[in-house]
Amino acid sequence: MGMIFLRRLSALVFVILMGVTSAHAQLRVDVARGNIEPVPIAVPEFAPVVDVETSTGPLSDIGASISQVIVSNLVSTGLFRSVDENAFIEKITAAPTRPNFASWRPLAVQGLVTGRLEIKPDGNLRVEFRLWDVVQEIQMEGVGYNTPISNWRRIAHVISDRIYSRLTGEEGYFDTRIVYIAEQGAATDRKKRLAIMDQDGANQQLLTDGSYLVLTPRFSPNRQEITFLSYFNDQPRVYLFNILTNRFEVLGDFPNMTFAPRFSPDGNKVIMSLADDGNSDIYVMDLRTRKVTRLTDDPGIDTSPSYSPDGSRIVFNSDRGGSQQLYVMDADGSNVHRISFGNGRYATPVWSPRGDLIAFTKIGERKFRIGVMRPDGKGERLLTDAYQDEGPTWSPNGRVLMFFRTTRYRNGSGGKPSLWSVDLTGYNERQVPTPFDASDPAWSPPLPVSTR
Amino acid sequence: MSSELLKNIVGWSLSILLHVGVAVAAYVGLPYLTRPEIAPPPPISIEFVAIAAKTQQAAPKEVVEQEATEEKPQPKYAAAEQPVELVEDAVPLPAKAAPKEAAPAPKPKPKPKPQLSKTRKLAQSIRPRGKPKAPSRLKSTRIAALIDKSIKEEKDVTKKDEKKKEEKKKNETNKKKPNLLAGARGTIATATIRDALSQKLAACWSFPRGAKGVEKMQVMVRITLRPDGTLLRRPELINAGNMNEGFYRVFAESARRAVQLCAPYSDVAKTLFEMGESSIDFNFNGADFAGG
Repeated sequence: MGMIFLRRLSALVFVILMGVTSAHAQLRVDVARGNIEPVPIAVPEFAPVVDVETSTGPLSDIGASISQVIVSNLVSTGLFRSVDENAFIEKITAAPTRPNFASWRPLAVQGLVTGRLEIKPDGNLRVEFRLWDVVQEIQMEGVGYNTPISNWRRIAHVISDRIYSRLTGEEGYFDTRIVYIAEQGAATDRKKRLAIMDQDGANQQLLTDGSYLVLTPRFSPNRQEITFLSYFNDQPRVYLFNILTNRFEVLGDFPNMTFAPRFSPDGNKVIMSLADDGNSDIYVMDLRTRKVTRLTDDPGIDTSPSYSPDGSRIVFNSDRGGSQQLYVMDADGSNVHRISFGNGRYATPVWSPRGDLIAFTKIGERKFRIGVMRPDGKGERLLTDAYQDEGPTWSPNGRVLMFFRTTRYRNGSGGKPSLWSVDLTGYNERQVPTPFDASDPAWSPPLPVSTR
Repeated sequence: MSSELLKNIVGWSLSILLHVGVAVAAYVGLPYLTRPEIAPPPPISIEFVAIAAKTQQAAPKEVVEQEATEEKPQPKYAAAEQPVELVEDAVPLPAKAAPKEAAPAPKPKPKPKPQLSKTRKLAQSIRPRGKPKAPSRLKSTRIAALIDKSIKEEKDVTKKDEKKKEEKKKNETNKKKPNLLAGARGTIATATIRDALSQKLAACWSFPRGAKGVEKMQVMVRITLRPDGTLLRRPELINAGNMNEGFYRVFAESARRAVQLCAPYSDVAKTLFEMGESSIDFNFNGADFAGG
């Protein structure tokens, strides 16, 4: 009898189970993994409506160059890869028609960028681009720009920014510049000059003549303005330099200063570390009134302050706890607390413009490496692993870090610094091309673009 | 008296035996009892095991390969890149002037010229760019741990030819798809279908890594299938979040693109229609990408 009962019971349980299962007939699948390979994109040469000769060459060449710059920008992020132009099936013309998506799908292209350009009656260049989602068969973006022909490269950067922004949700950073220290000459007689270039290494310019030492340029977060430190008569002097107007201004002479001040997020203040009787503390200076306020008062050495993007907090490093570690405090100097607790020392913290991370140079295991952690000190990750990487600077969108890498000095060779960039995921490390040895990079905010 | 006692003993022991027997029979026999009732499934469950084994095999393989390939190209890439060349590459127009000449004079002679310069230009411009194309070294499941370059494991990775691996991987996935789903039949195999679909989608989903707050994002995409497994209509976003927020929009779009790229779903369609269903909900979740 027991057997029969059990048998029935199990049958009942089975029926109930079946019932439960069929109630969930709507198939629901969790997808928690994806591939993080670069997304295939295609950027055919931008087509001239009428191919004419311009002051910068034939219009078709400008179109080809623009698409090359765009491809180069997008690929440099490590998020996209370019599909070989030889594989293209459809020839994109200047006609304002939808592309034939069927001829792009076999190439696995997901994003297609088409563009046309023409010379307006006023002699200006007009460039239009469209970004197509080949999978959905829709236009994702379409924008036109008018500009003097000589500006074609900037247009290419601006378009790259639009595409990048549409495909990643992040602001672009291609229409930006980098200020750095160009170094030349023997180690004993090193010439250091202030230099500027486009984010991709184009348009290199030297800003100082090398007659005096320059160090640690820092960009204003909202103006094309930098501060830098120079040694005038062997005294540290801080300059303010406007890149667009080429105007230098002396901010002051600061004995024992080792790093130039950094700007506040509104660009109206600078924050710095000043030494008084051998004890460094953090000070803030109002750029309009030139009034200096002391923020920390501790026997330890407090240096390298950097504001959070909302201006409410400051990260700096201090040896008050015995070794050099990162500390965060409120903008008025209150509520100081330590955030770094790993092995080794931490230097040059920089708060991400996105606000979610703090980059730093970590010194330990006989190496200098670039790392990031969250502002609460959690989630520390090292992004690079070379002999000596230091001086991180964020791209204006808080996505990429640039820093300088010095090779090990051995038997009279090596010891040369060069600029490198790395994505904040630790992926896509690449060297930034410079004509001379380069150190101390500082990333500009996006260049101004006027819109109608 | 002794016979009574004997009877009692016999009675008791019989009773105990019977009870124990019932208990043992229930304990041991229950699985056997239920089994004949649902006789048909066993072959399926055998296949289930086989499939599951394959599923598990495939996933790590892919990951290992990804790690291996990236490790190699990265340092090489950085070292091999001719920085100045890359920049100049985009600027000089002379090389590109050739194609323009070709347009007005479409004679056989000029033709090879532009083709050469064009391919050269392409080769120059694409070679350095092509390198990051290598599958990422990042293991999609544990990015946070892997991107920390202080982890030494990354250094000892077998070296293989990228392309071979890529092809191999493709072949594997191609082979894998039909096998995975071939045995999935009926309700019992739903879990396998889920597993297989989840894997299939993982390959199609270009994850928007590094997007701010991506670890908290999720979106549901519903597809409706025709019996042949093709999509009846464009995938719908179910209960999508704020599509005006750039990061989320990109996340949701990447999910929708993934289900489209993965179509057709011919392997699942049959089983699905047997279940009296024609639609599938894919729940995309960025939680595993935390730290990116």
